[in-house]
Amino acid sequence: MIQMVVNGEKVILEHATTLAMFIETQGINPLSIVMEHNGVVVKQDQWASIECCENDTVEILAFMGGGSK
Amino acid sequence: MKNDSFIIGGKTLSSRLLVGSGKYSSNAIIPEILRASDSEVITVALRRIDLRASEENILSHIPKEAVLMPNTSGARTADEAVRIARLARAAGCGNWIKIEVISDNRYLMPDNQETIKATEILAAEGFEVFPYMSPDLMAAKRMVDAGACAIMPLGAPIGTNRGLKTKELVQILIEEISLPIIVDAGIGRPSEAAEAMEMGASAVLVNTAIATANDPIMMAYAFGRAVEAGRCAYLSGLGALSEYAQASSPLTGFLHD
Repeated sequence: MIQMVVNGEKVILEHATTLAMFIETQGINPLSIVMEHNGVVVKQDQWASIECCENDTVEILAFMGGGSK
Repeated sequence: MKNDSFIIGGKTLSSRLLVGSGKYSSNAIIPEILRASDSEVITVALRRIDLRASEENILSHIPKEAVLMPNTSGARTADEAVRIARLARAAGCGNWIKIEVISDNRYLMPDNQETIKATEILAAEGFEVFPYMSPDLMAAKRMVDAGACAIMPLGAPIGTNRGLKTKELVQILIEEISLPIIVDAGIGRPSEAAEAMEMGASAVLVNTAIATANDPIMMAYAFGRAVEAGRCAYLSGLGALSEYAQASSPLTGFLHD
């Protein structure tokens, strides 16, 4: 069991996962997002090689309409 | 218009109207907005996705010929803006970034000082940097020195539709700054967009005035024409202002004594 923080919320993983697998199990379209892992921007071609570890911080973002408002 | 190419951030554009992507009733309207306005550039924000809900991807509504200008909205400091910019670039949609650094929640006034810092860092990393700023000549000069590719002074606070409240300060930037000046925020009417272009602005960015019109698509069309008209007027050379009337026909030869 691994606990990480994703988008500011605690997430529990049942077993070892890579970032790529995590995205897939969440049903997220990989083409629509960008990710940061422990404060570092990770490009899509790196996701499959990064293991999720205890206390990792992950940010998953996507473009949305607008700006400051 | 021939011989009036708009070259910015390494690209040649045929429209001097940039649009925002916020406040539309539905993102599906975005391709219509771009088509009606002839705009080729659209700004987008970067936000955390909601892990519980599957949100639609705004990129699926933006035609692939459109130029994406991600903004750093949400950033309150230069460091936050830099972080957002790097994430935005990782999406692989280009290296343009509009810096928005705002920690004032009432007027959303941009923080020029933090914007200068972010400009320097990001320009050095190869971004095409478009800083959104409060029109102050010295701040603009520092952004130029920091490596910006254009300067984006506000006309009035974001979303207010109040027009060119900063007109005279923007005029000073247009005269004194060698980079393109893109008036952004506060433009509420096509006539105000035309006014900015008549003054010599290189382009304008409009979001709220289009998105919140009763008929956004028609309003987008109106803004497209206004920006063209204003640019034409500027290139044509406006006639001088006069205090007294200047008759257009001779004041002799009247059909009376």
